[in-house]
Amino acid sequence: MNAREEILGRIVDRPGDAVVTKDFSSFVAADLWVQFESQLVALGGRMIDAGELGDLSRGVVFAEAETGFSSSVDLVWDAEIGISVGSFAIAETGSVVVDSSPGRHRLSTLLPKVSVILVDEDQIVGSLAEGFARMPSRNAVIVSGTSRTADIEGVLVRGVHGPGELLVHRRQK
Amino acid sequence: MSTRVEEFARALPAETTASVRSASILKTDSRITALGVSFGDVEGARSHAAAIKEFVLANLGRLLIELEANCKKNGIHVHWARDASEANELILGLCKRALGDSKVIVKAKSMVTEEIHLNSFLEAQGYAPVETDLGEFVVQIDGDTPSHIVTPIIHKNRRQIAESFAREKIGPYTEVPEELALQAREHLRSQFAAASIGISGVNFACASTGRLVLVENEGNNRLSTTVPDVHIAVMGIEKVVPDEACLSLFLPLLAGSATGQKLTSYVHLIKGPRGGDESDGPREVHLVLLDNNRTKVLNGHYRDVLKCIRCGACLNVCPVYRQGSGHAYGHVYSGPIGAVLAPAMEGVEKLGDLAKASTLCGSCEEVCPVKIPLPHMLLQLRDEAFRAGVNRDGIPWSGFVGVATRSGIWRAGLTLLPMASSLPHPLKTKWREFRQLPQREGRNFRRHR
Amino acid sequence: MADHCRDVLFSDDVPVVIPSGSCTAMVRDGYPMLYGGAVSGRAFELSEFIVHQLKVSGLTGAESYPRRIALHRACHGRAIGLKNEQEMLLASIPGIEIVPFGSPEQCCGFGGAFSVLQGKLSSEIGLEKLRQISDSGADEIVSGDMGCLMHLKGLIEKKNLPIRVRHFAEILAEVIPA
Repeated sequence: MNAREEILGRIVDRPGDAVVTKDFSSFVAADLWVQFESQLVALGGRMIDAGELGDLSRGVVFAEAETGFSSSVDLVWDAEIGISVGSFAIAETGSVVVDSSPGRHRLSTLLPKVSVILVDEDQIVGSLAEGFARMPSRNAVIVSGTSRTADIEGVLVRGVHGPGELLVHRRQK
Repeated sequence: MSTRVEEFARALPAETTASVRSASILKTDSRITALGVSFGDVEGARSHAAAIKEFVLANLGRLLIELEANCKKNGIHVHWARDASEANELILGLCKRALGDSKVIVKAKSMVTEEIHLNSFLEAQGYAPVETDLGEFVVQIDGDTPSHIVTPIIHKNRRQIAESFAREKIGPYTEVPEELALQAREHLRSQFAAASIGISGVNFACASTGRLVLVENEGNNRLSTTVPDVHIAVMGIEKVVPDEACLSLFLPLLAGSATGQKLTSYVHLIKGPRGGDESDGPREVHLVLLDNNRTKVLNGHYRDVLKCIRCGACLNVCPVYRQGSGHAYGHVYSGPIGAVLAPAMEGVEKLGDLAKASTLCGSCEEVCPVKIPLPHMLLQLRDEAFRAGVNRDGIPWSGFVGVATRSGIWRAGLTLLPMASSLPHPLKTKWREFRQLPQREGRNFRRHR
Repeated sequence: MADHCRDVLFSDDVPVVIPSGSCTAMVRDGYPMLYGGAVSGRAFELSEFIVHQLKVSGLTGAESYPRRIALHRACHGRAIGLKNEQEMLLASIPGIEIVPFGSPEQCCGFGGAFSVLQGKLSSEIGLEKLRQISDSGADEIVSGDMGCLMHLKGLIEKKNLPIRVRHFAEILAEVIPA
């Protein structure tokens, strides 16, 4: 008998009704972008305006095509700043969901020390549960703040393997 | 009978206990705050999570088949392994095939690969897997083992870490955590760039979509599962969940319980290998479904322990863990969850004494995000171990019972207590190693009217 | 021993009030394992009995007890589902000050046979509890369980610490006028 059959053979199911996930979140929706920003700041990130975004784009940048900026380096490995497009923001947790749609680079939100993510202003949901209800079906990541560790004596350090700075720009239509 | 935890604690340097204790207190406090912020009704959230995990255990076979089918649909290769050695051989086979010119294997932190001792197995075969989580990296360069399921170097302080980094020439000596982290970042970047295989665990695998969910804070997990051409994910079969909707409950419960966060910095939803229209990501994704005694546990008394989501909250709050550290348990899984999981998986004959390394204070159950009745299971394990002839404590209780069940003798004993105090008894000798014996205080409860 | 206690205490149909969470837990959770149910419903821990059965939520006319106390919530209180019953009753005593201290959820380290068989773990857990309580400025440790108090007192005397221990029931006996 192969491993699969043997393992499954040892399991006896007792089928019952599926448990439908309920929402226990304490989140109460108000101004979603305001809520998002306060969470983002608590996570060590911040919002930037078009002016600051423009300034940043002139650095050593890897920018996804859809951002409208051009890259100054060919490889994302060489960039100091990554400019990427996010799918949507989640107000409750201050998160940005980034998926792997054509033209996106998973590593652009990961390798550079500064990660800039652009999110269209109408692309925001309130709760995490709402976020999962519209989660893209591709490879995706939910980014909530900077890369961090507290492995050394519980001291919070930002930017251990990934970005130490997370900047989010709310893109006007 | 003393336990391995007690023996270990007796020999443990005070410096180590201090590291473990202070970090554990911090994490216990931050957990309470984080869960309180995330959930309006923490109790309800925990109960509901437990109910979903109960559903998983009751439908495990069906869910695994569904998961397998959907993973395959997504292009993930699914493998099954009955035990540690089968899993290790399987992974070795994948490595042999996938490693071209590059011999570099990067690893994201994973308890299940610790459980099967994958690193030492691959090393014996001539490979050099590199741990990339900061804590696991320190553990690896020190030839140590993780002492906590979430924070592997909870037992080390910054001076010890600094010394290890300097010794291994990772960078100039520094005790500043930011600088140490930066040194690890620089050092490991080249490893990521060169790696052709990345190995990770899995936190949740969604049956309905075939997506693998991995959580982390550092970004090394994302790098390990994105940069190399081949990603091998290893998971215990109990990690399957029915759908993705339940993640909105489990993710904040896990992050809150483990590290006091609302969500971890990164939650990866891995659907499969790089698609034709994608610009990066691995070319192959393999999923290894590991039993390794889990089906045995599923069919026994300790079934509920399979609900564990490996948050480590029970370790942080456990008074015994705080004094002994995770290494005291002599097993990959330590603390209250380890004291149940380890003997449940590997037998009370071998590990039954772990159940005695507990005051049964109940704080573990109180913090468990999926309400595993750990104290009850520890009691049950004690009973099972006793019946199996292990864990005899060597204390003659019979004399006490003889006196205490005869009211005349008991009353006489109470008045004669000072005299009785001079009688030798192993219990008293052991008590007095650390404490004074109680003295009679001259009042009488029975006559207190 | 359980047989003996069951025969002596639980043969009549009256509530049995127990000044110990630990003993209450044995009767409530342990006896059903031994005998299969029956006796457990009539066993009450003292504060539980006062608050939930007698419906008394505060002591009226109690004498003053001018001390700073640290209330150690014994783990077996947690096991039998006690909440703030002891605290509520103590707080109603004039003059008393209940001082908060760090890591109140932590066990004292007694754990029955654990205290002698795992002596090092037990004593270190106890000393940590005593450190937290000493830092709080309390001059007395109060608990509803004898085991905790016996253990902590043994440690206090071994280390000559300036803090004393009292059972919750002792305080009630002292402040309630005869």
